[in-house]
Amino acid sequence: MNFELTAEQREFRHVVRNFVDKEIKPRAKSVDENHEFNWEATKKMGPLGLLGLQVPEEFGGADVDTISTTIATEEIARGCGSTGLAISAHNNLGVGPIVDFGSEAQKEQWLPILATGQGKLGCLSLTEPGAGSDLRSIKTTAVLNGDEWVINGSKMWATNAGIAETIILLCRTDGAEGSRTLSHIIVPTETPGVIIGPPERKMGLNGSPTHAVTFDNARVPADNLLGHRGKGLAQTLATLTKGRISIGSLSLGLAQGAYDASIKYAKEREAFGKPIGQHQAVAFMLADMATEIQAARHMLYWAAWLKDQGKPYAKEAGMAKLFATDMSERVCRNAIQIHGGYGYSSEFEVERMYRDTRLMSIGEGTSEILRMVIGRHLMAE
Amino acid sequence: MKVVVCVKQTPSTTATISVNDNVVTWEDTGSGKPNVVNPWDEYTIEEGIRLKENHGATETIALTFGSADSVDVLRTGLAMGCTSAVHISNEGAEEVDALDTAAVLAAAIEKVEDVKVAMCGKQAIDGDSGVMPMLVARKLGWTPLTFVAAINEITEDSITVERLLENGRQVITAKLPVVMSVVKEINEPRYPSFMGIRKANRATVPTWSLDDLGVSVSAPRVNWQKIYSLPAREGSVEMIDGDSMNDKAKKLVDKLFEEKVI
Repeated sequence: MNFELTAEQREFRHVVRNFVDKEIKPRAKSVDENHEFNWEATKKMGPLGLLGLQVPEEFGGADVDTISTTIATEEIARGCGSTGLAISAHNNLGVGPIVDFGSEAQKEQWLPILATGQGKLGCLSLTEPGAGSDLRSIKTTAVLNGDEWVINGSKMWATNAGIAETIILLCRTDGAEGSRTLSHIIVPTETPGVIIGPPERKMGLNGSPTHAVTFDNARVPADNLLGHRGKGLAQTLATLTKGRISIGSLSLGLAQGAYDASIKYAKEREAFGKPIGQHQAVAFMLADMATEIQAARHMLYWAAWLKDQGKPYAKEAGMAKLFATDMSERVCRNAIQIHGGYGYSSEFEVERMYRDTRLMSIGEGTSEILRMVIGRHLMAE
Repeated sequence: MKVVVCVKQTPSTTATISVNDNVVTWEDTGSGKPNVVNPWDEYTIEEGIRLKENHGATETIALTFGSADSVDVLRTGLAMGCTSAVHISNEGAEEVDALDTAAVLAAAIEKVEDVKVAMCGKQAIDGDSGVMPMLVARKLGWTPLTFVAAINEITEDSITVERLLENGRQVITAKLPVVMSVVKEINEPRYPSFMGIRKANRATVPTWSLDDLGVSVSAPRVNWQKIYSLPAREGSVEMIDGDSMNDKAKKLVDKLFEEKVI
C-alpha cells in the first residue's frame, strides 16, 4: 500500500494550486457578488489542460488519471466554488460523455473545441420540471425527421447552459415510456429553437450560471445522437457515477478552503488574552474539521484509484460523495462559528463557502439517492 | 541558433524560513513544495521559449547547477516548453561562490556549443547577489546585456533589446553571442501545461559533472561567519479619534508632522 502521490500528480497539484491562487481565488468574491462567470481565468485554463482533464491528448486534452482530476477539482473549488462547479461540470458532464460514448467523428468535431478553450464550455442537461432524481419520467422528445432530430421540451437546472458551446441532452427518442427509450443528443447552443432562460437565482454558486432550457422544434443532424439509441439512461448513470467523485472533490475543496481560513483566523484572533485556537472549544472544532477533511480526501482518492485500476467503484464513489458533501457542510458551518460575527458577514469568504457547499448534497445524486445506491450495493454483495 | 536559459532552484517565496545555530532550514506547508524555480528565472524560461517560437531559435536549453533535487526546476522548464535540459551536478562542490558558479555555467554553455544567447534572471531570491549574468559574460568573453525588458529584433549576428534603467529605457544593439539578464517586465510566464508536465517527467535529463566540464572549484572566497534571524519588528497602532472626519484628518496630519513622517 502506498499513500504517496506520484511525482507527476504532485507537480499537477502544485501547478493548479499556483494557478488557482493567482487567477481564481482573488476573483471568487466578485464573481459571487456580481453573478459573473470567470471567463478570464477559464480562457487561461485551456493551454494548461484544465478544460480537457480526461480527454485524450490527440484531441487536445491533458488525459490525466482520475486522482489528478480529483486534485484539480479540489484545488479549483478551494479557491472558488462557482468556478469549480462550472469547470467540473464541463469536464465530467459536458465533455466526459463525448469521450466515453462519442464516435470518432463526434470526438474530432467537438473535443478540440471544448478541451482547449477555443470555444465555450460543455453542458449536460437532464432534469425537467417533473423529473429530477427519477429520470425515467423525462418528457423531452426528439423525433427523427429525415436526417434530423426535431427536439421539443423543457429542461431545468442545466449547469453551464448559458456559457456552453454544446448541450448533451437526455431525451426520449421513441414514443414509449420507461428507461429504454431515452438517448443522448448533442445540441449546439446556437441551434435555432434552443431557448436558454436567464440564470436562476440561487443561494450560492452565483458565479456558475444555471438555466432552464426550452427546445422548440430545435433541429440537429441525426449524426448528433451520442452513443447508442435507447441507452441514454445507462450512459447517464455511468456519467453520474464518475461525477460523484468530482462533486465530492468540490466539497472537499470548499471544506479545505473554509478550514484554511479558520486556522488562520484562530491563530490571529485573540479572546481572553490568547488566540482563540488555544481555547479548547475552538481547538476541538478545528481538530474535527481537519480529521473529517482527511477522511473525505482518502475516500475520494480511493474511489478515484479504483476507477483508474478499472475496478468497480460505484459504491465507493457514492460513499465518498455522501460523506464529503455532508462533511463539507459541517466544516463550513463550523468555519463560520469560529469566525463568529465576522463569519456571518459577506466580507469573509467562509460565508460564501457555506452557501456554495449546500448544493453538493443535492446535485448529481442527492444524499438520499446515494444512500439508496449504496444500500442496493450492500444488499447485493 | 541555440538559446540557453540558466535556472536556479531557490526556496519557495511562501516558505517559512528558520535559522538555528547558523543553519538555515525552510518548509512550505501551504504549497507542499519548499523549493521552486527562482521566480526571476520563470521570465527567463518564458523568453527563451519565445525566442524559439517567434525568433527562429532552434533549441532552448535549460541549465542548472546544483544538487540532484534541483533537476525539478529543469523539469518545470521542460514542462513550460524548453526543448532539452542539462543538470550540472554539484557533487563534491556543495559550497561554491558566485565566481566559481559563473565559471561552471560558462563552461557548460561552451560545451552545449553554438549558443548565441544565454539568459539569466536578474537575480536569485536566495543569494540576491545579482552578479551572475555579468560574471558569466566575462568568463565567456561575450557581451553582457543586463535588465532586458524587451527583445526588439534578433538577426543572424546581432540582437536589439530594451534595457530597463532607473531613468528610462535604453535601446541597444549588440553583436551575438550575448549573455542577458531579464526583468519581469519582459513577459508574462506561461503556466506549465499538464501535457508538458507529463512529457517533462518522462524526459531524460543528462547530468554533467565538473570533471566533464573540466572545471575545478576552490573553497568559497566568501564565508558566512554568522547567520541569524533579524529581531522581529516592533510597532504600535494608535486609533485617531475626533468629532468629524476633518477633525480626525487634522489630528492625523499633525501627528505625522510630529513624527517627521511628512
